[in-house]
Amino acid sequence: MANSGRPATSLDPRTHWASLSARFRATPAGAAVARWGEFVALPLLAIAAGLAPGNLNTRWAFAIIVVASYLILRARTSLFSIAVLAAMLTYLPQQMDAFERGIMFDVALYSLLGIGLNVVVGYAGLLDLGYVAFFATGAYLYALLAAPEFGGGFDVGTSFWIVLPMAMVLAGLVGVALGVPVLRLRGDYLAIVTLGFGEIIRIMINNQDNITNGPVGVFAIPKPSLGSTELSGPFELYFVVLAGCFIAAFAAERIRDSRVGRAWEAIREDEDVASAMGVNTTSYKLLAFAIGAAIGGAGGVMYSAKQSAVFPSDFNLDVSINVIALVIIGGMGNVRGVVLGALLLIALPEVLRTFSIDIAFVHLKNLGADYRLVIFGAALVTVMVLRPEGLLPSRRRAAEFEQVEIIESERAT
Amino acid sequence: MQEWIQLLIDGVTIGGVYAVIALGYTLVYGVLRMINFAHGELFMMGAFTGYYTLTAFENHSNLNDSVPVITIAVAIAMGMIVAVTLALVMERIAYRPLRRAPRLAPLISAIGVSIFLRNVMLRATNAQGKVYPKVFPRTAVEFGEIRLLYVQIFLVVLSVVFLALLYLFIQRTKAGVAIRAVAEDRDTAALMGINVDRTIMTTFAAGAALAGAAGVVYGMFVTTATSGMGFIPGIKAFTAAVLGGIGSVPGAMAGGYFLGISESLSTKFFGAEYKDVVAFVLLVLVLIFRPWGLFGKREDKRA
Repeated sequence: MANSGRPATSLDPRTHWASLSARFRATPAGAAVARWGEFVALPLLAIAAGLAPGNLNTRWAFAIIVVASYLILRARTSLFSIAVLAAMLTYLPQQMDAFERGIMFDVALYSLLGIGLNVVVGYAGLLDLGYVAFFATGAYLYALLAAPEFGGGFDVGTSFWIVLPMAMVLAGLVGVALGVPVLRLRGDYLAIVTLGFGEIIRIMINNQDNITNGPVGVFAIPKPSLGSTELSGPFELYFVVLAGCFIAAFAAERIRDSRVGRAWEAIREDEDVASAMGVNTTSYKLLAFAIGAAIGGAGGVMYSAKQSAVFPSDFNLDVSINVIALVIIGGMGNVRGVVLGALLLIALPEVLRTFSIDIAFVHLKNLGADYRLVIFGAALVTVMVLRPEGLLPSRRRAAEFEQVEIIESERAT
Repeated sequence: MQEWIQLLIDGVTIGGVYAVIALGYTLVYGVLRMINFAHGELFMMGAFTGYYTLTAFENHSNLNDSVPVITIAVAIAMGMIVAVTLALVMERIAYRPLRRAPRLAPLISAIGVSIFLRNVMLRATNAQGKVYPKVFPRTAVEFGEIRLLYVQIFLVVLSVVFLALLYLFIQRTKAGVAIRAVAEDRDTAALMGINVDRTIMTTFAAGAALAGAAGVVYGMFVTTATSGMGFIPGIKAFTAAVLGGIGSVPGAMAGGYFLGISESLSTKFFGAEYKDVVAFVLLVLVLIFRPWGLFGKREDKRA
């Protein structure tokens, strides 16, 4: 922003923030922190989290600080950083009670969904507001095939591992089926059509009683097992989702850096130019849809396995909105941004649940429980106003954003 | 036959509501290329304002005897004022700083505003729906087997009046010309001496006034106000705006009525539970064959 020809004024909070952090990095101490910070700060934070009192609030605050600071500090992927992250994510839940582990599961699950949607929105630039459709497809496929009471129940125990790839394929096909008619549309038209599609899937599940048991839902869904151990609780399944996250993140980043990823980027930047350069835009867009949908379907299977019961009302628009919000808040096109977004959007409202203010004559005992969604809404606005490019944008996105700023300010002068 | 007419009338009733809300979406989209996800919440706030105003009146006088014209007018005016104030505040706080931001940032900001307003009202009402005082006689006017509630007639007439007023505002007044100019090309409009910021505020205010008024009247029609009531009509109205060609004022009106009537008629064929599916399938079909909507301008590129 320094070369933008516009003095950084404190009137614009964004510029102010960017210049502050740049100025900090320019000092010797700042450079050292940026370079070595993760190696020092992370072990310290991890130790602090381990020592924190067993009180839900405190431990969660610590867990969030640890993982968030890791994500923020980590500048590039290295074997060390992945090892630290994996170790932290395995270690933290050991210290938690069932409720906290449940939250941890949700964070991991939403990270997985976020990684999937990020392929569609962040890489290919297609705004999909109906992501829940694929999630629901996976969840109901597993529920109906595995629950004995609903005609399923094939090979209880191992069926999870069979249904998982099936669900990914099915969700991918659903993604393509949705994509074929609507991908000619651009921008906001695509958004509303996908939103409608998500609603259609939910309503169909709700109304097709003979297949899906309607609003009553499917219950007694068996738990998966690995070898001879049953993965019964959110704690065990958390590791399954976590493994899924790592695989999906790895795959997504590899695809992004491949020929396919470059084609997506070209489509995102300018579809007409991309097509003129010989990129088959339709098939690459379909591919993005299919990959995103497959990851969503896998997430659905895991959700279904954890819940043991699924209802049509679980798959409303809120899921899609949460996932898109965490992708954008975290920073589009960037897996670590997605994870940070999931942490903030899914875990923070839960932590706020027990938050209260009791100072002087202000007694808001149930502040958290009652107003967490109010705070959440205000927080979404605040984050967007202060950092419209997301908290951790991919480096390329950040560069693009800065360029836009430069162009705009040049135009203004 | 009479059943069809009844369905048609119901469709026109709800279609009028969709049309009035859809105008807010389409106006804001026209000038900012942004989906104002919080627009449905303005409608909801209007409904609550109507409830509080009417209840205040009810506590001081007797509403039961006749149709209290002044009371209704005051309630609608209050709904408009509250919605307009809120819209201006949200524009200033949540949208204006994001005007040059990446396209998705204002969308998320709008979703944030929507969640915020919905939950503020949820807390303020302790998650209880508010039942409107009786304003219109609950008896229906009957023509053969066709039944028309008084409030329904009022709703239909009022939505037409509002649509006409807005149309005149956009077409005939100086502010309307400014809105159209900004929608066409913001930078050129600014060069022509149009105050873009003020025009955008006018746009928000016009859309919000309609949504607030629609909220009050819709509240009288369904007789309750809940914090979640803006959501479905909001989505439907947005669908209607897209159907008609987003950015087009006549398109939003036509789209609203088209959607309301198709929904209502479809209940005859598929049952009420597939009403929402019909709305969205219709949308997909229209967009496949006329991607620019029924009345939208054909643009070869929609960014």
